[in-house]
Amino acid sequence: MSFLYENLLALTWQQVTMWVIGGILIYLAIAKEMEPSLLLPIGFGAILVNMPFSGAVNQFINGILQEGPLTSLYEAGIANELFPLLLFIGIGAMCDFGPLLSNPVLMIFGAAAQFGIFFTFCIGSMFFPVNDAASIATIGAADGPTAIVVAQVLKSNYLGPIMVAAYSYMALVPIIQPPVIRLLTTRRERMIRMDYEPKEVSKLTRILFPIIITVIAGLISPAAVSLVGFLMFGNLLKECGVLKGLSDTAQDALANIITLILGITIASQMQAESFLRLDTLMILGLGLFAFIFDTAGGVLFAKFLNLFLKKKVNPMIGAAGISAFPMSGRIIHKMGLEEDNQNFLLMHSMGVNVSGQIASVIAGGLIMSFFM
Amino acid sequence: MNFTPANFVANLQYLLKGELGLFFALGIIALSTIVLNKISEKK
Repeated sequence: MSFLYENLLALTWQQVTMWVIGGILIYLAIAKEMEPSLLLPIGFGAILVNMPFSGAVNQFINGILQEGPLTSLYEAGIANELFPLLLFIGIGAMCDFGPLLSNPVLMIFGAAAQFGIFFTFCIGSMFFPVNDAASIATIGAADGPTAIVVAQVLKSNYLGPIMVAAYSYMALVPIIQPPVIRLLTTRRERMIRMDYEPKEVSKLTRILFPIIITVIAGLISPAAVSLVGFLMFGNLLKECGVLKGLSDTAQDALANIITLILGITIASQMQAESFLRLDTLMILGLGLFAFIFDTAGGVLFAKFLNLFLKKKVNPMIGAAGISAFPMSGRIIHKMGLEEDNQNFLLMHSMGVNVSGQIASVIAGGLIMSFFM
Repeated sequence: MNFTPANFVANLQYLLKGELGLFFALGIIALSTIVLNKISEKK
């Protein structure tokens, strides 16, 4: 009869704590609808892998390796960066670069809003080895797949906490960004109106844009070419106009299948012994720091530009340069309307937001080329 | 985990390199897009 209770006796308080963390993630996904497609599988997976002798992950039992399906999925799709890259095809197919193409100058805000990544790296390097500090800083890219690829390529020891932090903070963008923006801007600045003069973007431009970006990013940062390339391949499927079936599949079925597998596979890295450490708290703190400084970098850069511009820009749009697309763009638009109900910033903030998507991927590539 | 404050200063170069690299890459992409828009406008 001992088999009935010996597993129960093997249960540790750390594993129970992981169940609670899993439960919180599931609660946030369902009750608060925070990134449910990722937080729910991650939360459930956290419970699954933290059973005593869980068969979901590899276990040595009596010296014999028993392979678990989640470890196999991890080896097959995350250890070689395949799943995040495939997800990028779907994201690329979902992205509409129209607002950015009609006003390409918005691109520079994407660059400014990656400040937090590099600044957090400097802070993190005081506590962690450079490969881990660089991987942790990439949480600030607000871009889950990029964070996974960078952490994997740089062989970080903290893949689990980094992935959880990256996806959780993406969901917290509506809570994190507004107070930072309000702190750095006056009401008068937040009320600045920006005219929107829509320009027709030709089909040729829409088709050549993803190809040109891939070539430029590949030449400047070869390490990022797969990240940028898969993103732009997805966009090219959408914009070419002759592959509607593939584009729809990438946006819908492919993205959903990969997201489903990715979430629960990430949880294989959330075993109590590797997750419940002081380091994890530090990583969560540094990730938040990176998000805040990315937002601040974008806003302060816009304010700096306003010193020279005759036609001022609303500094809030700089904050949309983080990658969390389209959430960040929408938040800026909403904040503009809260200050002045006739201030429509949506097209500008969305343009900056998609530039942030591109910039975060290039930033990830630069980080990889620095430390590989 | 060791606390090594000197690493902050030593790694500031990456902040500069990273931001310069980003502005350079996105600047070229923006310029290419402007040129592309002009070319396709004429057509």
